[in-house]
Amino acid sequence: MSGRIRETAERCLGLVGTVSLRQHVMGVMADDNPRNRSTLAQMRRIQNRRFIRIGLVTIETATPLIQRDLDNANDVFDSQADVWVYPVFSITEDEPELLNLTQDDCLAGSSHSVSNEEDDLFNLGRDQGADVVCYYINGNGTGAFGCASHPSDRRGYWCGAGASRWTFAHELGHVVGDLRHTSSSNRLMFSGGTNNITNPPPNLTNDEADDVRGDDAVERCEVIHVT
Amino acid sequence: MLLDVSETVRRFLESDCAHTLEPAVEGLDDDDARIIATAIRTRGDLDSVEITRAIALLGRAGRIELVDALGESPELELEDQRIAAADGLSRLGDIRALPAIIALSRAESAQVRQAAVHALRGLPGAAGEARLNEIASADPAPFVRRKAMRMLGTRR
Repeated sequence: MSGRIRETAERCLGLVGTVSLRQHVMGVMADDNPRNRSTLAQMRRIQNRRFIRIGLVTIETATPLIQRDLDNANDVFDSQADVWVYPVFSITEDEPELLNLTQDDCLAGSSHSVSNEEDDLFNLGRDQGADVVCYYINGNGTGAFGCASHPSDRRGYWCGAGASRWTFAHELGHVVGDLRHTSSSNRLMFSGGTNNITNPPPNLTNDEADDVRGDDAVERCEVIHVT
Repeated sequence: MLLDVSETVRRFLESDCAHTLEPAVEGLDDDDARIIATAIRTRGDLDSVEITRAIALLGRAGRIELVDALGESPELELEDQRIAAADGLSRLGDIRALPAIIALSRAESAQVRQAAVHALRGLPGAAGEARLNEIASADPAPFVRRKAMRMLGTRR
């Protein structure tokens, strides 16, 4: 890794010590979605664009398509809201009792009741540099493939087996920007099933993009440095 | 999906996002419950994922129709459906759900047994407690035994 990349990674992302170009700089966490990825374009992204740090926790035996999810999220958030989804870590936890989550409800905000199992799940992956954590599990016994309700002090969401290529981004939208459902099938927040989204990649409205950019956890490199 | 049900119910059955569940529970009326229970029983007009959601919906809405729809020994195609059945039946808080939950507690899948253990926690009566004791001491999966121990603790 060149000194210039290392310097940018340290200054903009706070990366010190052993740094992987692929994971920590390029944000590639898995092999399931091969793409041509330009280091130069990534340097410009890191230096110039807003970003949100996200952690990824897979409960062992869940089978997510992590890179597909990250790339599709960036096809929406980076392209339309000017907020790059930056994966800080991806870990796997052996917690079979959390694979199928017992969850009281999937309500937003203060109406949400946190079950003991949800409390246990959302304790995982904390204090590792990401404000928002996505948990890959099987489901919550409702046939749904995602839910963004979370304990009030630990932001995150889960994605389940059977999730579509837009589920991850949809649930992220509920958390970052507090986006609400819409009946428009062209939009990310379509309530009729993300597998029924038409005209992909789905849209964010200007107001939704503003809400995402205005999230408290969205950061930006302090020194603008275009190469 | 061909079911003639309320809009919020249809939205939940079609959606992958669990945030559509509570509006569907709110919007579920007697006709919806009858139609959905029939669809679960006959496996008609719903695909396998929609059946899982239908089971969950009746359970979360506390509709006793779920007991008849599943029968005393639920024969469900998918693990997710069996987990939804255990979860849904537990939310009825009705002793009539006990035979089906006990049947699910003998499932091959440890994940289904775990869901059944959670369901047994909330049901009154000695039969449920006896089954929890059996599982706590003899289930082959350690995490299911641990869950049964915890559930026994919450019953006392």
